Amino acid sequence: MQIGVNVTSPDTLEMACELRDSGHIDFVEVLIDGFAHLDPKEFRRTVGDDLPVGCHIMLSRFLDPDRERLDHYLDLVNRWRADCGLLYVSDHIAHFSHNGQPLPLAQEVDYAAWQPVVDSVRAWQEELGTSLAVENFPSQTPSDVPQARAYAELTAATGCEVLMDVSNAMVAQLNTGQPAAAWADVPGVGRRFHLAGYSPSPTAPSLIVDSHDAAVSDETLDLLTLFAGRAAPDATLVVERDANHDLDEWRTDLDRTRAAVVAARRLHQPHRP
Amino acid sequence: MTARAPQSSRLDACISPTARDALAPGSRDRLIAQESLRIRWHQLFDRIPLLSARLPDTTDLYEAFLEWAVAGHRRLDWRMHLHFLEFLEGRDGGGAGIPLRPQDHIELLAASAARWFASPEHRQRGLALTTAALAPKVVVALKGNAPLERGRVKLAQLPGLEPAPGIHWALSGPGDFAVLTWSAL
Repeated sequence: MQIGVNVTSPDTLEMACELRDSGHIDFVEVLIDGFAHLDPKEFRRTVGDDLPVGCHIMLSRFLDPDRERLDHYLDLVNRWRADCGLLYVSDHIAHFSHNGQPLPLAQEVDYAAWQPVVDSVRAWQEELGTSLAVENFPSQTPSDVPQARAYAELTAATGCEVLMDVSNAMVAQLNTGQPAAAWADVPGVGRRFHLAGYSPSPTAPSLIVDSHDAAVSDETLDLLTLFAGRAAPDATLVVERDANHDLDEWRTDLDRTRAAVVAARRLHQPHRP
Repeated sequence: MTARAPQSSRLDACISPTARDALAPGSRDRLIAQESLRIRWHQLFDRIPLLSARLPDTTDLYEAFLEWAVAGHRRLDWRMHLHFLEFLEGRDGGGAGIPLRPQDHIELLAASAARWFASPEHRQRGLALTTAALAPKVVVALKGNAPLERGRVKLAQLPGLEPAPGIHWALSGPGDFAVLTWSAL
């Protein structure tokens, strides 16, 4: 399994380059939204020819029919694929806006009204011309249709993959009681993984928030061993940070994550200098 | 467990305090909506510490602003702080309990510019913002020209720029601000 970090800005790219130089990462995942104004060839030159690059999309909002926006992202992905090479392309299933108004936080879709989502994933994947990896959501409240069951239907219907965010599954378990381990049996889980830290809302501690600002929990790493033990040999795993960027903490999380993967006997040899 | 509200009501509640208050007290849906509104409070006020420190109360003002924005279909994307300025000026500063100063305009425009960096909708490198109180001064935002180059926000002068009522913005593809076509907010 290859282990990487997410880069969302010049600051995090600088940290990723340090983690590359210290042998802590095998690839980077670029949030393509944040680098739309740049030539992907420049990005390739910056990270070096040997570091693979994955692609994460935040705001294509492909569930909303906006042709201009989708064309923008399609062009972005095609340019980055041609000039930089992409390990994979991943996106989100969530509501990012409502009645034309951006939502402060992405909100979970209704799995009881799933067919339009399946149709949208199929259409977006066909336009992208690659197998799309779609991320599971850090649920905040139980749903009548479990998310894992809905994603199983989705992958069967479209052939897409699941971007299995292990900590999102933990957050969902803590918030809803729906077992995170249920994801291990979902078709399409096994090649693309994320994990990050989470924390209780400061004003409502019963609500666990996918905050990406804290150390990865031991529970997440325990769960990771379940997934890593079944993962494909060419699987990828991103250890995400989006706030409280502390290079030492990030490095520690990478070490702990790699140890968990080793424990699952899916070790990718790191490029230690 | 309380029955869930319809999804449209739940999404309304994430952007409108009135819609939040229509959800059942103590319900999970209401908790989630409140969390969403809490995050937006930080998105608005964390970037304008000087103005926030002078405001006698942010909670009522914040909620009034959100209702005004929803009712008027103001998009709270990277332009959120511009709309907040529009809202405060529309209340003649009285709504905020303080008179607005040019420094407040600069802080609000700079906050908007900083949020624009993270906006995926523009490939342009440069953004210029101004108000009637600032012209011919403008707040400019410039994205980095290389992957490791950080964006910059600064105050600049555009000789010949005449003050016009309202808030205006212009994009510059190459970031040289040589040709600017101003749009009213």
